[in-house]
Amino acid sequence: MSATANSQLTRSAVTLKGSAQLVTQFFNYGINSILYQRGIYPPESFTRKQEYGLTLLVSTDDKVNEFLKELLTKIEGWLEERKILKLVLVLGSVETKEILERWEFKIEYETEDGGKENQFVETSNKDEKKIKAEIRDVIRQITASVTFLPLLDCLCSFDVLIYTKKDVDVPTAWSESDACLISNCEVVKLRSFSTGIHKLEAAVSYKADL
Amino acid sequence: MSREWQLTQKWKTCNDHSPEAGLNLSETWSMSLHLFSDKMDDPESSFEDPTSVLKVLADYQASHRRRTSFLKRNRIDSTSHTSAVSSTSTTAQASHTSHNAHSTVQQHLRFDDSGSSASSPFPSWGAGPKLPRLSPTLGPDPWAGAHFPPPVSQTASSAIDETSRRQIAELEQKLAVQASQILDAQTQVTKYEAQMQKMALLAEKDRWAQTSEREKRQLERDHELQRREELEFQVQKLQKRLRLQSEQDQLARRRSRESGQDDERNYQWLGQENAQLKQQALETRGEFQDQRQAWKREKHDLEFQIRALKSDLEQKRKSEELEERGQKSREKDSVKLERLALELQQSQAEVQRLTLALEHNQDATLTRNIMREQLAHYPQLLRENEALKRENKLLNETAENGVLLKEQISDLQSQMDQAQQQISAGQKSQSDLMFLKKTLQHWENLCLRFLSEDDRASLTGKISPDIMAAQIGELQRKELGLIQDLNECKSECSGLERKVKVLEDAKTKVEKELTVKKNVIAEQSGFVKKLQRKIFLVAKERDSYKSVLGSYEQEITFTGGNFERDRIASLEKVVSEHQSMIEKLETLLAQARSGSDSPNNEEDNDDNNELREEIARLGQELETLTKDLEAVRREKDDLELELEKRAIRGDYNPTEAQVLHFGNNPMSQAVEGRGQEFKLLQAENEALKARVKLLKEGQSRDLTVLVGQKMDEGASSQEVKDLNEQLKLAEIRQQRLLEAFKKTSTDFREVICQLTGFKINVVEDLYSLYPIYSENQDDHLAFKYSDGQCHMLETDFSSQLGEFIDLHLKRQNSIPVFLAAVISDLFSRQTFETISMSITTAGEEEDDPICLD
Repeated sequence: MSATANSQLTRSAVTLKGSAQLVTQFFNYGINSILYQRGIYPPESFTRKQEYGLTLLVSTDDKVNEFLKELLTKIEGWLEERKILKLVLVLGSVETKEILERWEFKIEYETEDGGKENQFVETSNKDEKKIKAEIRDVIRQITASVTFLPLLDCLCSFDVLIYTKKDVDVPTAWSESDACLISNCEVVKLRSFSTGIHKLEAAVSYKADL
Repeated sequence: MSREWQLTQKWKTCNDHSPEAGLNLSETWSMSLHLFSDKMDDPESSFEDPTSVLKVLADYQASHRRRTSFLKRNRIDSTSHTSAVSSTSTTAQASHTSHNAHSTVQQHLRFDDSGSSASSPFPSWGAGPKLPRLSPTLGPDPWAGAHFPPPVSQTASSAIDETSRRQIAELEQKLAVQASQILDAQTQVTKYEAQMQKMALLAEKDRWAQTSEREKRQLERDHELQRREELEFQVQKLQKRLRLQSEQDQLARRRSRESGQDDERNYQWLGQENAQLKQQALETRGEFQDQRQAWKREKHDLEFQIRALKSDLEQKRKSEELEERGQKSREKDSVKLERLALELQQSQAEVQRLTLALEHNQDATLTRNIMREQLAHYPQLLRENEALKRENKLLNETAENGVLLKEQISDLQSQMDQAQQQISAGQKSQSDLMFLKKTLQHWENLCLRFLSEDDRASLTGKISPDIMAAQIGELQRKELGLIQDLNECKSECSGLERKVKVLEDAKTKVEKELTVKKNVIAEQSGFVKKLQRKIFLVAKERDSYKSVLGSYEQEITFTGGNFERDRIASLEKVVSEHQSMIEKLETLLAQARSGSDSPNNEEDNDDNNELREEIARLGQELETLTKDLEAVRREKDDLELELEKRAIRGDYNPTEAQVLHFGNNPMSQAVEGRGQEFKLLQAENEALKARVKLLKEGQSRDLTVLVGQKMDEGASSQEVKDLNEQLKLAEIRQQRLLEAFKKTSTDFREVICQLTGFKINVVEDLYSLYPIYSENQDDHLAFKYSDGQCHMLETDFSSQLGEFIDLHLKRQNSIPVFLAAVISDLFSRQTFETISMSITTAGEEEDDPICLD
């Protein structure tokens, strides 16, 4: 996936497809980082990988990888079609099913929808290096946010919610869900990054300690 | 002469001890040495001369010979004297013996002296201490014990004359024996003498050889001494040279101090000379060592000779001992021996002298060594000298530099003062700097706070004032922009307010106009109504006219065209009139409408009042409305904020968006997994509880099996509950059914009983029929139902019914008929009514015989 992205990005211009790939790549590493940082899966099930000039940890758990693969292919498609509005990574207790953390990635489209014909014409002149630097900052902030987030001291698992436009057909094996809101939450806005086509704003909300 | 006398005196004493000469040899040696040394001290007597030695030896021998003869004489006196002394002082026995003993001793001495007569005694020879010396010499004498008879006291002489005579005779006999013995001894002596002569000859030979050897050696020694002197001379020369050299060295040193250039040359020359000297020294040392070795060898030889001589001497002593027996030869020998001893002493003295000379030589070598060592130090001294010179030069130079340095020091001190002042200033400035840094840090922090996130991200290093300036510039620009905006907003606001006022004025005017217009409109509407009514009437009139016209037209069609035409024209005229009238009216209406725009003054006054009131009301309304508006706006803002917050929290607009998630997500998987786990755990928990229960009940064997069973039961506990409930329901139902069945069965039985006249009881497949008309209640018929057929069994009652059985069962093969016959028979027995009937029936049936009975 990154190889094609790179080949497309050699002209230092990002196409819609390339942008979608960049964003999905970010989701992959971001979700993996959160899973590692929040201790959802044991640290030994993660392996190191160099990306964005950082050493990132990627899960080796088959179930997680399968899930992420399925998820990310769908997301990439939706990103290209401008159907996706938000991606939310929900961390919740398995015992009580209570939602403890929401990692929200709001996606905005910075160019006008050119329709299906213009899908490949759309480009942004933003340098890939700069984009990656921005992505790196976001991931760094995600990593750093462990410091203020409360400790998850119970057995937790995660789910990924995708906010799409109404006209999206629900694929098989997918279903509508509630927003999994946290009733009493604190919200911390994180950095954002932009590929020139997609703008992504990150935020984390977590159950306030009472 | 006096010396000679001393010597002789000494020799006398020596020869007094001649019998024990061997014992006192060392004494004599020392004596001779003494003599030699005396001689050596004499400057006139050159020791080196061998002839002098020979002369000395010759003198010695002569004196010795003289002395021996003299001694022989003395000896006899001394012996007699000793005997006298011994008889008088020492022992009581000796004093008693007197004559005899004296004579025997004399005899004995005579033998010893071999015919030498006693002569004038020396006064010194009577000295006591000398005597005991003799007695031990006599002690070991083999003849002494034998020849001396035990002394007898004089007081007993008279008493023992005879015994003495006998003794004398014995003694005489003994004497004879002894004489013979003496003869033997004399022969032996002669033998010995011959031997001694031989020995003397040999000794002479030896002595000759020795003397010759000694002469040779003396010569060699002289030669060596000469060489040594030469060497010593050389050494002295060398020493002189060394001294000269040292002087030269000193000179050279002085010169080197004056001119350091010659030093090297001198040094080289000196080094060469030194090397030569060293070589010479080595050579001399080698020579010395050779000499020393030669001397040592000589010494060794001499010592060997001395040892040989000693042995010879011993031998000679032995021979002298023999000589004592044969005195003459022995004395000669002893003289010779003494001479030899003297010679030996001399030679030994010479050896000692030589060793002394050697020691001297060794000292010389030592001093030479010291000198050499001093020479070895010389280059070091030179070096030191050079170093000192350099140092001196340096010091001179430094002394010159000193002044300069002092000046520099003063300069530097002034500089230092300045520097210290600067340092103090620097410290102050450093503290200032620290303070400034702190403040700068504050500023930086402040700046950081001012910077936006993006700027902070782009900021790589420290915050530079450029960035801050840019930031501040941006902020100022923003501020300016904002102020401008504000001003614009204010102006806009004022403009808007003005507009609002104008509009309000306009509004009040419009409202006024509106009210006027409303009144006018009301009037006009009245007019319009009137006009409409009029139009209505006119329309009606027109319609009537039209109808009239129509009738006329009909009439015209009846009557004729002209009339018709007139009529039409007149009518058309009327119509046109009407039309014009309508137009008029319409114009009137229009006029009326337009006329309402210009109201009259009276109305205006009333209207104004109304309008004012209305304006006030409207103003109030406006105020309330604006308040409401503000409240609503605030509410809207709040709501928007809330909405945003909700959006941040993840809320969404369900009309626009939908939330999707993958059905098989990890959360649901985890929850499901947990649910399963929970169930498993629960099951396990129950199993364990069951186990605990079993354990409490005391079961210990096959626990797992039992638990399994229990669990099977336990696992269906829910089912069991359900089943129990079902069972209860079923039971209830069954009960009900049973009840129903009972009821129906009782009803059924009742009915059957009433209908057939039999009560039927069933026990398994045995059916017992009790006829109700039977007198005896136990009467019954028994049937067995099997294979779809009923078979009658025999009972007490059936045995009474043989006829019926034969007839109905056996012949007719019908049980119902049989039963009916039986019942009718029984009934007929109870009542009379049936009799007639039964008679009638009996007539038809053949059951009746019983009844008839």
